[in-house]
Amino acid sequence: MNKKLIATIVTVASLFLAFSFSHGASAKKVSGNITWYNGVGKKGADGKKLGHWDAATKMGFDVPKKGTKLRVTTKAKPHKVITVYKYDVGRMPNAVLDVSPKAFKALGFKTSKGVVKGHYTY
Amino acid sequence: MKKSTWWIITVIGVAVIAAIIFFMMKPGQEPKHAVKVKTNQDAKDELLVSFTDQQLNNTYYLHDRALHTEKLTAYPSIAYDSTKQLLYYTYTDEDTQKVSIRELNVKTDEEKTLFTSDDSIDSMRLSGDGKQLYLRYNKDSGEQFYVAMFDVNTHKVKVLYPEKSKDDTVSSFAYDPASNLLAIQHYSLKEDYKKTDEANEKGRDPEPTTMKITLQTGTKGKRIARISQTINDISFSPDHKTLIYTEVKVRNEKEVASIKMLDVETGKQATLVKNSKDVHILSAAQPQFSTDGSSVYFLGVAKNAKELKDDTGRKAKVRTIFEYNIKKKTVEAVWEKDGGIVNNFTVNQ
Repeated sequence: MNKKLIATIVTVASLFLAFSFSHGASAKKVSGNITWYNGVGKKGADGKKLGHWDAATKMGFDVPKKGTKLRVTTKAKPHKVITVYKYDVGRMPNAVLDVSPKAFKALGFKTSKGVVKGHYTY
Repeated sequence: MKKSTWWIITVIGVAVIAAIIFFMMKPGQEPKHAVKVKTNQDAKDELLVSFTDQQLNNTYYLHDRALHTEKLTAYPSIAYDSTKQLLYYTYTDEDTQKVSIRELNVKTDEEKTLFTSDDSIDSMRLSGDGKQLYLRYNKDSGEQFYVAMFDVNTHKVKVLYPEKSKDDTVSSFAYDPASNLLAIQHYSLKEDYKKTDEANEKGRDPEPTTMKITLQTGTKGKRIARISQTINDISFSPDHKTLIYTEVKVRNEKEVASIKMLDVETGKQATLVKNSKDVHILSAAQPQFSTDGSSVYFLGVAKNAKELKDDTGRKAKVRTIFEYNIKKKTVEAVWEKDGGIVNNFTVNQ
């Protein structure tokens, strides 16, 4: 019975704490598909010669500044977090973010997968 | 002990924990009018707001008065000359990606393009005499950002900071039109890329890049702070003794922002506003003092803010400009509009 009591208290407390943390997020979040493209070495829409950690965002009413750091993660495991810099604008019909092949692999996926669900925040 | 007694103890225990957590979560600042769509007519300052609707039309408001609407093509930046009623705004051509500074006389509707370049501009502040615009400026194909000065009469751009370094880059700047004081938030590109490289290899968040704040007096700079945290958007108090900015920390996989103050003389930092259950401070909250210094405006998301979808399918919650009263420690919504989001704002001086 003692174990049950402790377990109940711990469970309820955890639920409350989880609820309170869910109210703490401050970043602007953009969810959708993440794809990759061969842009490295080419000039992005923002003028910069693109590097491995540079990415293209889709134009929307919530537009990040040039060079903004984006924190990217995926819905599926292995849930790695990468940081990329917004230096290009994409017209991707089915994606919110386009990253380099190296960045796509750093998220934990082979480029043959092509697309993963996830989000970026900034 | 009887089974029923254990159940009573369990229920009391849960109630006590719930009560403790409830009071821990209860904020010190209760927002008034958090969910109403409105501008506060009693506001003591005029806010210059860049608002983008769901069809990607970007409108510049001076308080509740729409000054100009343009299709959004890049991050917008604006400045306003109250005396001459001139709106300065940047426009990026979607095809050429060239950036222009345009001057619109809101009285006569006459518009002039003052400058067009491959370079980019994402922040503008008008000098006290209305003759210069201070810019966060990025030269074409570069990753280095500068503070530059644009002369509205000669249309010439002069880079102010950094003058020589190829590594130092400007994250944000604070400019006070009354005193011409300039404070610059800057960091090392090399350090930033190294930390990103290391973290991306491991699939985790990078260590924060060291942010430096330098007070520029004439041609000389005085380093006033080194901050090993992610910070954004520095801004002066009216007496120039304090800088405020947003600090962002990653906690439990989520970015949490607070508004901090920095004593310009001593470099001492203190927290001014924290997230509450009713107001989420955005990571780019753009905190700015009211002209009388008694309160701070910042960009946030109110509890139960409506989620919008734009024409491209992008979702975002309605953003509100809040006013934090320093003495009363209260938060009040001062500018909010449904049907789009606020991208940036400045306190008109």
